Amino acid sequence: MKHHKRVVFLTSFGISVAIACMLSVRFLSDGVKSSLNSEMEKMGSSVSVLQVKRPDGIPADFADILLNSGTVSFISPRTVEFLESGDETYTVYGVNSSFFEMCGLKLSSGSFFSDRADDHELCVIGSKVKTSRNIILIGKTYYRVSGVLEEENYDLNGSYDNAVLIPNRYPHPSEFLFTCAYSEDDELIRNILHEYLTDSEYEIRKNAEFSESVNTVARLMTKVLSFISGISLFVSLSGLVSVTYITGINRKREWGIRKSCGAGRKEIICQLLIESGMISIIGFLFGAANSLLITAVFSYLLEMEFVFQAGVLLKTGLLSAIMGMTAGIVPAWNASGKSIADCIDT
Amino acid sequence: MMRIVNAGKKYGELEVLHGVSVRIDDGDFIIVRGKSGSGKSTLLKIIGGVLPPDEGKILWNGVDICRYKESEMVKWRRSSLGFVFQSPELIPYLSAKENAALPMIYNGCPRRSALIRAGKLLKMVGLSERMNHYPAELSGGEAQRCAIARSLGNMPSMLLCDEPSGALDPLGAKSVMKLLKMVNQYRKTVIVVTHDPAWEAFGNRVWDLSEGRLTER
Repeated sequence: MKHHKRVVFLTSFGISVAIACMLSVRFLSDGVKSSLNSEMEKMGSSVSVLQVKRPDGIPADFADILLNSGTVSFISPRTVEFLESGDETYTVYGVNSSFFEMCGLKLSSGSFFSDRADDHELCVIGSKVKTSRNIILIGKTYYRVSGVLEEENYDLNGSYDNAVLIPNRYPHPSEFLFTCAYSEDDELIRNILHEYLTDSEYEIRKNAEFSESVNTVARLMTKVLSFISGISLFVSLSGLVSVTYITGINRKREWGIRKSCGAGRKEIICQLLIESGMISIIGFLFGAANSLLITAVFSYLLEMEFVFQAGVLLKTGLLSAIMGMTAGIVPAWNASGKSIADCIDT
Repeated sequence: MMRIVNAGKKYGELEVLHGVSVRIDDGDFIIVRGKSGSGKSTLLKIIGGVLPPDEGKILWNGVDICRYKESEMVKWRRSSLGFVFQSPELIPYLSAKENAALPMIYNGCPRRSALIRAGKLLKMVGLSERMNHYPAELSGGEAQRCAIARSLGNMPSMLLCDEPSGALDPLGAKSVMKLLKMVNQYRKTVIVVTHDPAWEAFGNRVWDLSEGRLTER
């Protein structure tokens, strides 16, 4: 290996690129999954969304019916409209006080509004919403800001930084957010809904189901991308086979010298296998270091968790060593089969 | 002790050796002479078990080495033979000391002890200042002395030398001759294949090979 530094470098480089791709894909997708799961956790995986598909929605007091039935612990309508203010566009959510707790929203100042009638002209705004003297005009109504949300409050609909939360003012909302009192209450809720709506007129989406489907997609993507990176590892290992093969032929004289010094077939095979394994391990070490760097940079840029799994790293290292040594078997066997007379022209 | 009984070798239709029978005793210093293509190197390869003869036997202490399995041949070569080639044939990326230690390492000697012993052998052949030099940093004569030191690593009973001074200047050749004579004084058998008549003064036996037939002077 000392004698073939350039060949060793180029082959290791090929392997390191493949390893870096494989590990980065794995660590980044683990980071995405972990970030999503922790966000789901924050948003409350027990939150479900009732979407009414009837054009006129259902009466807002339907929330009270479900709440009084004991099947839900929190429920809030959620209406969405948009507010143009200067150059900015804000999303206005019509909700009730349960919404804040369900979505785990936190305030940086002030307080949330309550469901009392005297709070109906209060609002809570996102951290990036600009107001004039804490007053905001929505439609024909002036709302006074009672609280400002912390930065980076968000749920499945996105960030609340540009949101304005007001008490719901629509009598027939088409969307409700709720949390079940017990997980087995699904059927009970559907029975109550059937009194007002047919099966085709509503849909219930659960955050937990969404989380699971996101995880499934992430897992699938990881497998597909790992497979593609695996192909590049296979290609670089094919390069290692040809390098070991050519090295075996080029160093014919060396094998003759070693045999004349008492080396048997076993010693020559061992030497070539160790060399090809070492090239592969060097490639792995560089690849692993690069993958950690890539993952750290992307995690920082995309503001997601940096997930590092030592087990994955160890398994990949072991795999690349084994594959490297496997790549050397045939060339080593051929090189070791030559006699001293074949190798040294005495 | 080795006995060659009626050994013959052909390369295709060309008969290189024919009915060679000879006895080699411990401590012999044999000079093998002959024209190019007379079969000198082939004879040396047959003696070293590198080439099998087409006919005849090579008996080492009464056992025919041609019947050895590959592993037995490797074992025999490790313990009993040392090779010196026309060019020194050192491994370019190993130092002189590491090159000299190779046979001992292959014979199972721990690396550390092998390197210490290789150092002593290099000192014996006058390379104490060059131990950590690489082959490219040695002169032709020094490299050949290093190769001789390497061939002595496992204290073999027979040293096979194929034109050991062929690539050296007269001074270098003389130092190699003296060195091999010194080795021979430790009752090691030395067989030298050479064109150089100057070697005859060092050997106690001279073989002439002509048209595949061996005659002893």
